[in-house]
Amino acid sequence: MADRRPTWRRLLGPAMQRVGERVGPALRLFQADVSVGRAWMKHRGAVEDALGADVAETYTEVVLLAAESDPHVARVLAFSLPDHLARVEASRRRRYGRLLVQVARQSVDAVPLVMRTLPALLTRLDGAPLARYLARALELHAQSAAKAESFLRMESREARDTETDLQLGLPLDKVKRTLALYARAHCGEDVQVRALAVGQKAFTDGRHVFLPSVVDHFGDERDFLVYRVMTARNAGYIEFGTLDLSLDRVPWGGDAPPDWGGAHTGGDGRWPERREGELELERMLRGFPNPALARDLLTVLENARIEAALRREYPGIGRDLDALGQAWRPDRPDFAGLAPAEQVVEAVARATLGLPPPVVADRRTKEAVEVATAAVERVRTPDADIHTTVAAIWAAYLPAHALLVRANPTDDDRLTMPDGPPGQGANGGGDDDTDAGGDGAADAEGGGATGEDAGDDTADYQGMADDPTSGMIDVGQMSEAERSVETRAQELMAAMTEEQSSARDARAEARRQAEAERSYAEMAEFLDRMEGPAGPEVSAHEAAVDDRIVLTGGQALDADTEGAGETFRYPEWDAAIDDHKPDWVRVTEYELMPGDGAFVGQVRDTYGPLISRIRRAFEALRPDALRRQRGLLDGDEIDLDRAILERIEARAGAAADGRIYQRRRRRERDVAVAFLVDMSSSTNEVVRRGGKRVIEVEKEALVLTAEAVDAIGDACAIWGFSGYGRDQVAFYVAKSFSDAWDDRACERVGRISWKMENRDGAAIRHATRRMLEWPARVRLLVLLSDGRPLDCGCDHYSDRYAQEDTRMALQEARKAGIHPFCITVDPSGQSYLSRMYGEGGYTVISEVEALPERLTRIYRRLTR
Amino acid sequence: MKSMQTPVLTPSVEDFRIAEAPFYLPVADESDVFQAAWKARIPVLLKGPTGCGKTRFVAHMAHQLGLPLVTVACHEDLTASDLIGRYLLHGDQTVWVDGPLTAAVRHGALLYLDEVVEARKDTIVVIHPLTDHRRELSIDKLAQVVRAPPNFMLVVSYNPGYQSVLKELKQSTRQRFVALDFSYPPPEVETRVVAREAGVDDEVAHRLVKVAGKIRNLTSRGLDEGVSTRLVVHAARLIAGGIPARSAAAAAFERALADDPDLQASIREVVADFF
Repeated sequence: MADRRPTWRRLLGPAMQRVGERVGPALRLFQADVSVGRAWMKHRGAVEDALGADVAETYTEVVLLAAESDPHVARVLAFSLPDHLARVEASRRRRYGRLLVQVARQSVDAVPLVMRTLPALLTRLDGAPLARYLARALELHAQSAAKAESFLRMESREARDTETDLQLGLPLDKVKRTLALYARAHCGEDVQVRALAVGQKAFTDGRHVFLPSVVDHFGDERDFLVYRVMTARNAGYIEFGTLDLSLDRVPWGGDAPPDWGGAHTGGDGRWPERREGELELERMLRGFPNPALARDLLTVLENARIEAALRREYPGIGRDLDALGQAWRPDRPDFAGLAPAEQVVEAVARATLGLPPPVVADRRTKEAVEVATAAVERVRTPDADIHTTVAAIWAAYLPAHALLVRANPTDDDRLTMPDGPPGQGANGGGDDDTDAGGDGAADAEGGGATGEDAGDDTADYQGMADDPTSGMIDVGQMSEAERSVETRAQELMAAMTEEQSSARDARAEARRQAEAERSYAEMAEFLDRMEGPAGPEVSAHEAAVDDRIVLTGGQALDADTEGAGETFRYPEWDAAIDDHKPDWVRVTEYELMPGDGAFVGQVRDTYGPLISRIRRAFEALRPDALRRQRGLLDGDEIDLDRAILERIEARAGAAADGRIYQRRRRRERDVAVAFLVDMSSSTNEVVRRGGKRVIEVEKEALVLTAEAVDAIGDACAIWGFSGYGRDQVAFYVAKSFSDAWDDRACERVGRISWKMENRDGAAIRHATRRMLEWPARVRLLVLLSDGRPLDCGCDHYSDRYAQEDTRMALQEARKAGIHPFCITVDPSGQSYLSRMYGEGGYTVISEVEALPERLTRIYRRLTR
Repeated sequence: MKSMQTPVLTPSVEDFRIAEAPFYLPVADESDVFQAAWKARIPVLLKGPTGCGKTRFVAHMAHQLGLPLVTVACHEDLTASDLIGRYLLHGDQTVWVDGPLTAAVRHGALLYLDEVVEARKDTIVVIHPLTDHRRELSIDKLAQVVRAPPNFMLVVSYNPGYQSVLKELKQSTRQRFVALDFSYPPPEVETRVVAREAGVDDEVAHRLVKVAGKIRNLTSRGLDEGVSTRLVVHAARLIAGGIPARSAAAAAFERALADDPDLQASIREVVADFF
């Protein structure tokens, strides 16, 4: 088919190319079978719109291949393949399409079967094992379609045996959580582990550790060691402070860099001026005439530093590295075949790996190699930090750079002025980083185009293939938000250098600020959306509800609520004046009404077995209904022990008091718990791509916990709150203490949805009032929150003001005998949470999806 | 005054003497504060996670101050008469037996109520008159008021990390104490403690303490409470007893701390970082 396009292009011209691509196969399809052609016409456009041109082309190709040999199969495919394509996870769709084309070439009648079963297979097998598995299936298909089907569905014994035989390697999914916890244990931060696309190399962006989705180097338990070492190395960048670079603190010693002039120097004569949004590491790389060379040296030397630090800190990792040995590292390139500057970097790399030094023929290169490799020892010393590495990069860079210049004597001028845009330097080497096993997808990681920017400089400096065991720090991968945190941290660090504040604190502080600001930005965007006709993510119905709250001060009537109930006035604490502002906020109550029951059904489907398990577990905790009361003057029966004691005392001459009766009385656990859910718009965020929204997970957690609370016999209320501005705090009642826990109540919980802002203080004060109306010995108020209090309504409810008011509201609640406890899904919340709730008064859940299960456990612990 | 004829039995003070100096390494000024509180006759509240050395500290102080030590492990069914004492039949005679609280007051001992929040609130109020200027214990059944000698001191401990709203110290109780915060000792101190307690060499102790430090990073990130120094000592003792380090750590850390398989696996990996 490759030769088709030029023909059409010639005939129709580039503008008609797209039409041509569609007409060509169409003609062939209509020739083969009219109904297939029609079905294809009908779906192709939709496939392209929804899934992209590549996928549409695959679709066409498969249908066409089928049409040419079996119109019946082609018809089936034309109709149902689009649905299957849409259902396959995006990251696997290309592989799915390519495999189907292959199968269609070999055996058209097997295609419908493979089309149906392949998505499940793709989640279990990949690469060569998958290919072998499919080949075996096609072989079976020639004998018996039924046999092949059960094989492909992995139902037959043969299938299972084959899978076990073929399933080489260790999938990340199996060990992801363990590795995340392991990384957190190392660096004490909430590091997350993410899967990489096939072919990418492990790296960290300072927040996440990205690991390959499968490791298949050895086929035995050493594959786990590979994961472990990768995790430790990448977490090592966080643990040992690669991001804590501050260029002012680089120890120069005797080898201060020359003045490169131009874009490479700033006010201090050494480093370029900082650019907006630039990270210190990027600025550092930009300070070198050849950022690609500097970046490779950074990778090599920083790896050496991290590895040395890891070996010092964790003897076990050193042992694992030694056990993995050199065997699985890719062969080093042929040294003699490298350009002089590359030889220098390669020599440094070999030195860091502990390999014997290469033999260098050229005298000048030899000298350069000697100077550069001497830098390795500097980064291995116990007190080496990122600043040591930067100084070492300079030491190694200078001789290598000299060779670079010599190789391009005519280019001297331009050489010192490459001036790539910021950010690209950090990525420059990425294109060349593909390891031996990579399939080229690594260019996704490169992003930068230093190759072109630096022009001929890189002709004699190609960059180097990395060692896949070592991690990489790749700040280019940082999200915009993380990046702004880092840049802000740098500014703060610069501002605080005299005060000796640690970089880590600065970063945490910056993150706090960035988050507050991000929330503003989100809110602005959100309000924009609200103004338009039902924007994305908001159903027309929800948008209408929120609109009316905004416009009418919470007097909205809608299907969710029974209309505005009572309103209440509350004071608010103003930390600036150190006093309450009386009657400052107005809270309006809304009853959430039962809905259609879809939510109940969905929760039952998902959690059915868990719900009954939770019920059983909590029923066991229910205190004995009857408790014996002893020492009464009057009662149901005589307490024998007491009676004997009474006799003893009488004989000893003590006065008998006659309290020898006992009675069985109902024992009250007497706990009332209220759940107060933050329904602000940020809870609309999805937990992870394709996952549930925070608020959905919270609702499910509430249902499970309500079951538990009901089983144990405690009184329970479920409330939500949101609103906009101090006059429009909305307090939603899904279940009052007096409501029974039944399907109706569950449906009402289902009506909890994301709204607008969260003014925590007011909601806590109102919850306090409602809790005090319910008689109980122990009152527990559990807040489910996803972040800090924030209300960008007409007045300013944010940051310190909001936190202080919330803290005060909590204090008032405590004084009233209520125990507040906060469960938050904001992993960066530690600092402000402990200020508001006190140590032990909150818990942070980093995996939101674990909330339903965690919440019941927390409840159990709290009321133990 | 017939009751005066009743024989009163009280445990011998010698039973409460601490013969050998307990091993304790001070972390900060806790010994000085404690001693000053004792001199000033102020009761002391020790707060801290489980197994971080609170009990050991009390034993150490009792020995240093030359006081007998009476320890009561509090629990939910502890009654006031369990603390104060009761009549028992002895042959044909009725005998009053002092409870640990009364015995401690009579002997001018150091009375240590461990995990005081576990006891019911109505039980705890019996200590109130001992904790203010009165420093006396009134025993209605004996029609006696026992005055505490100057040496007597009350120490209670609790673990704030348990986070149960049903078990909190009432303000009226806790405001009678000065408080000392305990947490895990710094690594150098903990290393010395482990080496000394378990009889392992410094290198093993050092590594175990490192492991513990890393696992403690998981507190509130998966673990409810960090590894106690006591558990580290347990692990070290198993190692001293000839158990391979990884098995010892599996028993003392991995399985003792968590039931969650992923968490156990991550602890196992942290152990493997050092052994």
